[in-house]
Amino acid sequence: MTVGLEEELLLVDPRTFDAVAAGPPLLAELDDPGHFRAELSPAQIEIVSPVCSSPLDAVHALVAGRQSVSRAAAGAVRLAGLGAHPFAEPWSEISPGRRFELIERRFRWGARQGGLAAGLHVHLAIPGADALLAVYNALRGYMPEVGALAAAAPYFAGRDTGLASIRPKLADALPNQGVAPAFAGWGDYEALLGWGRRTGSFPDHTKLWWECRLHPGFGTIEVRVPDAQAAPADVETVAAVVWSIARWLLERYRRGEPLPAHPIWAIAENRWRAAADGVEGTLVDLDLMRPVATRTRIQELLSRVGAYAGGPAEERAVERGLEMLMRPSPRRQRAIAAERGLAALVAWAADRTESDGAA
Amino acid sequence: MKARDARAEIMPYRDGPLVVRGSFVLLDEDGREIDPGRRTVALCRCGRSRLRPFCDGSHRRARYRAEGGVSPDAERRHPRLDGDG
Repeated sequence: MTVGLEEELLLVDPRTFDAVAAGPPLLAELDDPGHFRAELSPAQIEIVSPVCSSPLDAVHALVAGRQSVSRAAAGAVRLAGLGAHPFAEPWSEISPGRRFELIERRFRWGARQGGLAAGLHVHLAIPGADALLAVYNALRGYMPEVGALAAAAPYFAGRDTGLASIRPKLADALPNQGVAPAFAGWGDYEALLGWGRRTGSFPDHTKLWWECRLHPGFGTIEVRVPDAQAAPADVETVAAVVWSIARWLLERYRRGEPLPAHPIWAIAENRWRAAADGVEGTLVDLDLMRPVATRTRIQELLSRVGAYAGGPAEERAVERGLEMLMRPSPRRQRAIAAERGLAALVAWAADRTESDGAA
Repeated sequence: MKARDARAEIMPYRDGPLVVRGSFVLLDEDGREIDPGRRTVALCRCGRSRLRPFCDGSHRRARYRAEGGVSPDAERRHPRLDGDG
């Protein structure tokens, strides 16, 4: 199994910490489209890792990418890893280019909202078409746990939203977002893509922006649920947790164990709970269909999948999830904002994002 | 943050273990140090773990029930538990 990461980072003014539309000049300066890409919002930049055999190697590549962006910015722009900017105007500008122009024309207000969300995407290559589909179907059910662990956007448009992350709600402004359906076989998936083409709803699978989506051509699953993270150690933990859940599911599939494909409406309820309360609420146990404390559920998941992390450093990164459970980002962000204000909150995130290690 | 790391923080997870982070030493009853092998550990409180003193997730099968904080009885006996007393 291999892994690749993409992260969308906010570009902020070094004095006011407001969002700044510095993406196009920065990308021109970097001139490396294999590693740095435009986002719908020009106040974001996407950093892309190469395909790696360990999630930690992929994070090292992202951290090197962050440093390259900082050098290119030469102090005029700073980087912040948050699920959304806490006080920028809640109306995304649109990056130049035909692709973004078409998105804006089609989705209008949706593009202006969806463009404000910033995520960490984990691409997992699963060998074998049947294994890929089985792992995908089962992995969908764990997306709320991942989203809760990574929730990092309690503020939006200058206000406390009351949520652990506004980002899923921003994503909801666009179609084909949220929880993905399960597929009983590849034929069902082909039928969906055929329907999208025939009806003019979506030309291909790249316009399905589900939180967990298949890329059959590459044999990969893309997990899009985590908010962008500030500290490299948190990126490592989130990436290692997603990787380890997938490896645990793949191992069970190979042992001949039937994997679950939880119903979309139940996962959607958990998606909402994760956005609302992060790790500090409850999730529905999708096997027993009863509520359980989210912290306890994630702690169990971490202890179960740690053995599948692939190495001692990866296992430590998974175990560090316990620290994220005890000191959740939304709680820390609210403490900073209450004490020093929202600009200081972005400064805190920028300091962590541009650091090269410790949480 | 460094100052916070200098003390131990212990958090009871609802229906789950006690999770400990920060600066702590884990000892057996003869006073010998147990190496937790990591900076944050989950300690069994349901009694069903096979990895005691560490949690192995057995509380789930046992349908163990406990508060994520102070139980009502403890609240009555120690009413100022979360105050300055």
